[in-house]
Amino acid sequence: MMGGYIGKILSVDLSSGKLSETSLDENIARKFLGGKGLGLKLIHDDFKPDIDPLGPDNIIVFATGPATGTTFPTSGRYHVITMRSPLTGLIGSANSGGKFGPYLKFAGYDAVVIKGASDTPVYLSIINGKAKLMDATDVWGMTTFSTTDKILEEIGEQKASVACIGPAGENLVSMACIINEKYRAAGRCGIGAVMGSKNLKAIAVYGSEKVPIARPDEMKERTKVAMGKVKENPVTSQGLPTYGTAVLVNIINEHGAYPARNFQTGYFPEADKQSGETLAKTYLTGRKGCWGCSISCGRVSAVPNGPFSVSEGEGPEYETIFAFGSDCGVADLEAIIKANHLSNELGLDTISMGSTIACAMELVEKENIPESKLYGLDLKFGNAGAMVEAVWRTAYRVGIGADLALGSKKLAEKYGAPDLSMSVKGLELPAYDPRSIQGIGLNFATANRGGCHVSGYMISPEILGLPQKLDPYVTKDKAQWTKTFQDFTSVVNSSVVCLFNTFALGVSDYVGLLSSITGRDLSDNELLTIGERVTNIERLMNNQYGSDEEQDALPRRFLKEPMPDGPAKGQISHLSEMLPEYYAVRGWENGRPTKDKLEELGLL
Amino acid sequence: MRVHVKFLATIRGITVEPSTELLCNPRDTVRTLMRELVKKYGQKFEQVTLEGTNLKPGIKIIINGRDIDYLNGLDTQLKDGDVIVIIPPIAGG
Repeated sequence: MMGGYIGKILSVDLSSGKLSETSLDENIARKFLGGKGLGLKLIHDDFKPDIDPLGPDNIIVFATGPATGTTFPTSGRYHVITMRSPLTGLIGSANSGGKFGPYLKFAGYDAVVIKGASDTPVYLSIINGKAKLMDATDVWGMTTFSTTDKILEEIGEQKASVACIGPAGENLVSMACIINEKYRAAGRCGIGAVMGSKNLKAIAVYGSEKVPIARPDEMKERTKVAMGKVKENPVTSQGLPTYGTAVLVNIINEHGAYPARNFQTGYFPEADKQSGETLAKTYLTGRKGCWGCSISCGRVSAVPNGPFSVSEGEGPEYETIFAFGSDCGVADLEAIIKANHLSNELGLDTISMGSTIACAMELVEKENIPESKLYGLDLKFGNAGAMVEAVWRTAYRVGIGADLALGSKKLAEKYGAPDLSMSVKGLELPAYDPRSIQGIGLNFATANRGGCHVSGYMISPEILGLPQKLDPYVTKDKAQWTKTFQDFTSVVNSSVVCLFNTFALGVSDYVGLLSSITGRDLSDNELLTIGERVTNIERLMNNQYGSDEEQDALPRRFLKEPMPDGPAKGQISHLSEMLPEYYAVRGWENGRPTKDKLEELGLL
Repeated sequence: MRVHVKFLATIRGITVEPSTELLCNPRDTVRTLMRELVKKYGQKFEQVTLEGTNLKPGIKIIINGRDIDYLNGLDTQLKDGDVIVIIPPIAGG
């Protein structure tokens, strides 16, 4: 077996309670690397396009990659794949930090495959190579915080990592997520609800297995060079550590791309009140980093008094600030911090939650949702208290919360205004208005998991100028750039390390570090081809769900309603100019990989 | 004429105030504006934003949402009411 891998996969059949171990196939590791690639390949081999996302036939894979838990900078991540997301009906994919990824490997496994469903609540414990299903009746119903504390006590290892669901996952809310270390989220696509449907409350991991490194002396040198780059780069050494991702609030707002009031516009006059700069001066109490990370972009915040008072916890991130803030017309940073804290406790994806509330607010504004359905909840843009209350009601499916729990797409369809869901493929859009930034719009439309920014973070070149500056207003060359970013991100998610190291490290750095770890020498192109293969196998399965060119789209608002005000006034998305070229560079037709492309990638 | 200048992230650490308003002449450019800002905020501001007569690499200036790279660079002429934002190299998320 190559270096970087433990070489073992744990399979859990929750229906029978049987646990078994298989070897990680080296050919799969060569073709798909690990992490996201491994998860997709394992699911592909058992793929059935007609399953119920909340039924026992759905599968979840928690996966690490060869770089996870090594000295590769920022290697404290893991990836989760599910065969069918309850929110999108497509492949579900999510990624998180903290320490769960490395600890899963140290516990003795590269990945865990979860099948079936338990009759009663259980949690999985993997301690020093020994895996057991434990009774979770005592923790069922608990928040993620209490669950974590109780399980750590029960397994007798306070340093273990716990990934769990909260009440939202138990109640099968479409945007329920997985929370590890209380504040880190494998957020998107509702995989928490899939766990809930299986009565799987949590996974606890701990151990002292060593990750084998093929060429350790070389790895030591390469790590030094890579760490030097991370420490020199101003994003990873100053911007992110000092202000966190929240630093983006003002930057994106001043570009006229900070979505406000359900993406009705891209400029929020009160943005500075919820900015990273303001957070640093007010409610910030500290910084936090994931396992093995020198950037420490995580925020720690608390609100001592007032109606939104909340004890110390991690966050809020840029996306959370937008989702509960400007997108809901809310300026109050305290309310945002409260909603973030609640989302962590209850186990909800902050982007989808905030965006669904914003959608509901516009549906109320335009009188699509009658007052009787609100059960007294005054869901108006700017009503911070109602926004926070809506988070509770969603987790417990109370009143309008039962409708919010469907996600914005089904919510808007139910109330006769499908165009008011700001989502792609059913996944709510993150904090960048595609009218003001063309390339991110193309990425939103084509990313496999749906409305996602991190799949191909075009903000990096178009706004931040990394690795070079592209004009956000033009469509030229955006197709090729988007493909490259998406495929490199597939590499990052298959290695599994943190995307943020890519502000400082490039493909060649990855090639060097991965070759020292695995003992396998690849060229830049060969590594990117692995990424392309991962992107394509995911797309193949989505095609089988019937998702293709028609779903590679953006909400009508961005194509037909020019930006009404702010610095990007008058702009619209020119998706139709970019999509044909994107398909051409991808080797796809109508959103489907051609036979030639699949043969080229060894997927036929 | 009047222009509004905003400072973000680590630049705000030097200026302390998040923004300022400056009176300009009709022929003023971003270059002359930077000179005024250096006079106002001092050497530390200059060190962080300028390298000789050019902008320090990584520093971005946008006017009404448009990067000056797509206008006329430091020679972009200012207009009454322009909103100029000075952004240090930052982040993502």
